Amino acid sequence: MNMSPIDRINSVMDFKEPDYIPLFFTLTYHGARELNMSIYDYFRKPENVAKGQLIMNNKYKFDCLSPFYYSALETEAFGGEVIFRDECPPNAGAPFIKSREDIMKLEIPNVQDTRCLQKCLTTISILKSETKGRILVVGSVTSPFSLPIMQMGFDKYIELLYEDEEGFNVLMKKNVEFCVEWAKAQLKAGADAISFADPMASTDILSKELYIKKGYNIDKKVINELGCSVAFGLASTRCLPVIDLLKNIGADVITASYNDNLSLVRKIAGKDIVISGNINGLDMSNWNAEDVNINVKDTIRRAGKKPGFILSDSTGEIPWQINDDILYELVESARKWGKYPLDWIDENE
Amino acid sequence: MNLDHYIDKLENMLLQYDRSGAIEVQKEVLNECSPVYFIEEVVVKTLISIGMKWENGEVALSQIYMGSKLCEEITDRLLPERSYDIKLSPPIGIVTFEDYHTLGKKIVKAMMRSAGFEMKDYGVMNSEEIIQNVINDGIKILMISVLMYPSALKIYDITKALKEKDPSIKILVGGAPFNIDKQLWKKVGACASGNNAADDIKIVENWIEGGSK
Repeated sequence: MNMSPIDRINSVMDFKEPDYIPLFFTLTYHGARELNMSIYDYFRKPENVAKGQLIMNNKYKFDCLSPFYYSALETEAFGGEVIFRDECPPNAGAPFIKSREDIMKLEIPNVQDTRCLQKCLTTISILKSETKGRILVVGSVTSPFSLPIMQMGFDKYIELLYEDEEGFNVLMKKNVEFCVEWAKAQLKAGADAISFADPMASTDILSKELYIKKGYNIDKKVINELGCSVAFGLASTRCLPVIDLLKNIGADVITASYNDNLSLVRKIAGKDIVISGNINGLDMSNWNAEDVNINVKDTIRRAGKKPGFILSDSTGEIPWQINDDILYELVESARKWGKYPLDWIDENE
Repeated sequence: MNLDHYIDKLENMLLQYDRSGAIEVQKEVLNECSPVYFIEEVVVKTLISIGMKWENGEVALSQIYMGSKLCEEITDRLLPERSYDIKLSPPIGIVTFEDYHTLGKKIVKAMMRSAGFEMKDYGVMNSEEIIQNVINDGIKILMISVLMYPSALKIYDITKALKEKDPSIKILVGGAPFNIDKQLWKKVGACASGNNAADDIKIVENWIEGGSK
């Protein structure tokens, strides 16, 4: 008998064999297409997002629901602009921290009084109530250490990290306070776990030395304060060079990049942390049905026989341009090759 | 003259963001050769080495950004006001398409300027603005940076329109979507995409010398 999605996940979190490898492929603004409305209109009402998630979950049978709106939601809460375009995830507008003074004056949004955040909380509540705990509802936050990429622009943030310790510390204090309040509000609304995005933790973005010095303790403090299951995402950047750090950060899951050596990541992760990954979501647009099958099989083979693995894309969001046939094929291939026990895998290969 | 020793030293200073150390290396080299030789044989080779290290995952994007900024600064010190062209090239333009994330453009621009190229920086533009400005300014090499995958796909409309108006325009694209999907630059009708920012220097030099790739 097949497990429910929540039992499947719980089994993986305990490093026990579920019936199938769970599938976490995040479809977000794609719900607008299901409801035949513009992306802008879709995100105007929390009911739309909840409905979109339920329809897509019913179609593809992925193992989690994502009430995630868009990355710029958090900067929108701080007063930032969000740009809506067709067939594109809503994007952050121009950075609103333009000077050191702006950091000092920055006001932390109150979650209860911020409409865009409240919409997301309502979506979470609806999803929780509709699914009655049968499917994992995953809330999302951006790490306080990565949020400044949108708040002040990547270049200015890197300069701040290198050149202005006081300004950095003030911004982090404010971002930590907001992040914890925002995550806890999502948990209170019914989220079962939190996806915590910090691409700045990857050596693709920052040297390991600088991450240890500036970001690691911030991430660890926030994650431990949340007291819930946390999936640490690096937005398609590599986790392998920092997995020794991240497996002790308090998270339960780490997302591996398409660029990571998945076998090695899994080996180092051991039973300390579950790994999700590492399908190249953008490359999927080049795939036909056979390519899907080959890539899914190969990813599962590289992840190995032992439980503690979730099949997902590594970018955190499937592009709009990936068509239904490819997504259906993805699920079919994943169910075919991801059925436990994975005896077809020869680990001596 | 063997300058490998200076290339290693400069690379080290750039990656550590050591301004005084980088200036010291520059002074040492200039005791032995001309400014243009320094740029060609030390700066460009250092940037190419750093770019390859980023591609291989050995250095971080933040090091590339701060290092390229520092490199641009020391070459600017070398040539106050940049009153003459170090490299003769057809007009080059650089732009970020549909996004306020301009880090990629800034890195490429700093590297290209460090290598002696000058270019017109269009900031952030939409497709109509890019097409109009490139044609009006007689740009012959256009460098387009994007962050989002849908924006990358829309570059096709720009390449199509520009090639209709001026088939000699060379278009170089870059940004995260092109790093993740290595075939994407062909799909959008671009002429090339560098594997790293310093790769762009080699590509543009090759185009200027009459190469097609």
